[in-house]
Amino acid sequence: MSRIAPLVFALLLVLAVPWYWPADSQLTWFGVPAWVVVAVLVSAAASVLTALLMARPWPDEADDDRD
Amino acid sequence: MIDLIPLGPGAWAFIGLYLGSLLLIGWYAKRARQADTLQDFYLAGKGFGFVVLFFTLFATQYSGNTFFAFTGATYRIGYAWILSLHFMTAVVIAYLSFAPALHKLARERHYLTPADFIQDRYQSQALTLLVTVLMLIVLGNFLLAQLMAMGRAMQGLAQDPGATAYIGGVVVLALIMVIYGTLGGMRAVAWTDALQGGILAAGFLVLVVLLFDHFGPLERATEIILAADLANGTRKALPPDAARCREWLSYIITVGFGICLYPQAIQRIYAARSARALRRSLAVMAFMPLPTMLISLVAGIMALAYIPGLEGASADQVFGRVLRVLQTHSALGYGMVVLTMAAVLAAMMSTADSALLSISSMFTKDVCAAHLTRGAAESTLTRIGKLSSWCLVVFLIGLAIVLREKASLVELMDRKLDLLIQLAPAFILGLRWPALRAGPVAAGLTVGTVTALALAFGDFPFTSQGKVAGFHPGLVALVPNLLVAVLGSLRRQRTRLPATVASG
Repeated sequence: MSRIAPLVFALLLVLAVPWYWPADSQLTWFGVPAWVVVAVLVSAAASVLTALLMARPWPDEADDDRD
Repeated sequence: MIDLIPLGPGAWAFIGLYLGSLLLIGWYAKRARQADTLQDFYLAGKGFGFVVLFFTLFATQYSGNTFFAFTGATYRIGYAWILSLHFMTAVVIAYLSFAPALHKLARERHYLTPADFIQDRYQSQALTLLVTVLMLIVLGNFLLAQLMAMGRAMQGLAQDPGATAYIGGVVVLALIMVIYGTLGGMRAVAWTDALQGGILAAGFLVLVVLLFDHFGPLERATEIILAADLANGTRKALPPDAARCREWLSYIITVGFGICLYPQAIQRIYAARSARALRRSLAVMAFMPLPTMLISLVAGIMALAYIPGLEGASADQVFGRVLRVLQTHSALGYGMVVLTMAAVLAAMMSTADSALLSISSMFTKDVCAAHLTRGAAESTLTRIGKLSSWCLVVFLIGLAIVLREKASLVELMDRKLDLLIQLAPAFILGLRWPALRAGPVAAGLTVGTVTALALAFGDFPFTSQGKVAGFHPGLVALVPNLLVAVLGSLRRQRTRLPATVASG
């Protein structure tokens, strides 16, 4: 795993949990609460980062080319 | 019980066709067998390419819970159950921390079961046995929960509140599962997973279309829930409070690291044809929580807005109520319910068959081959494995029937993850830190397991439903587990250092 990837995942984890939203926020985006939209976007960012990391060959993968 | 309008003969024929096709796949998988060995039976000769591997990982991670428990959870806590999207994504991220190294080792050392890695890494029979026993207990519970869920699903399909449909469902579905499982082994399980994953995806897709068609846009549902929040002081659309945020964080870590340590998940890492196939499958898996979790969330939100008033255990059946509403909506709705119920059965069976095969492999390799029938031929061990699957299924069918009114599925599922996460130091840290030693790992695992069970089932003033300040008992117990494993290993390293220096 890339060295900065764990830091980015940790940052996404901090952003994922909506602890920083005002308790009485009634703001909605696209028909759902705004904090839910942010949670979905953070999850999508984590999925993209995971897929990018999976796109890079793992160590010693060259020895394992049966696929 | 699921509250559906009784299904017609066409619907039963469709479900029968689906179940029959599983047996056919089992027979075909038996014909595709390449050798009468444990590796071929339990890991399909380690030949899974990208497509089959993806579907089998998908079907293993998403079970009947995705429909019932998750929709019910959304109904109970509202939009905050979006946390399920995060913990399902966390599962794939957690794979990143150990799958590359484990896959490489598995290919080099020909691992068959999770315990093979533990024995190879730590050279300790005691630790290997401890890990094996813990995994067998967890998987046994898990398999029992799936069998009971199958019985309840069949009760709903037949609209029979009595014991007949439940018992019939458990017996017939479990027998079909063990027949195709023992015919074709991992190959049959993975191929049926591909069929089941396809049905699951189709069920989800049609469900979301009908949900919006019948209930209208989410905006209106959100307005209704927000108005109820303001009137009742609830937080089902308002941002969650601090306690819920702590629980959210706990779910991400506990489920993320718990599910990726399922023995059957570890065996799928072994069964990958190549690192490239595994990488590609996991890359696609990273995106699967988005459609699946969002659809179960939408179903729960629609039910919360338009089918209010369900409390306690009834909330778990809210998905059935949604299906009934859609069933009466149109002919398409009726067809969708049939497809969805087939998908529910598929999800339960695909999860259960993987667990069954995993238990069978661990019993055969880690218990029989290691302790009871040393030196037995591979073909003999394969027969022992098949026989053990049959014996276990017959035993669990009996247990599922006896316990049908007693055990809570949710409790069984929660305890499973609390125990599985205790294995994280042995597997994940063990792959990354050479200084980790068997004794401290075994001690940490014991301390963690006892603590998790004590917190979950004990009556303490500082716990609520087993959780400490919103954190799962398994996650809390992981702290002493890790401390014992790490500090114990460091201490051994320091006490050994003088001897090493002296010998040098």
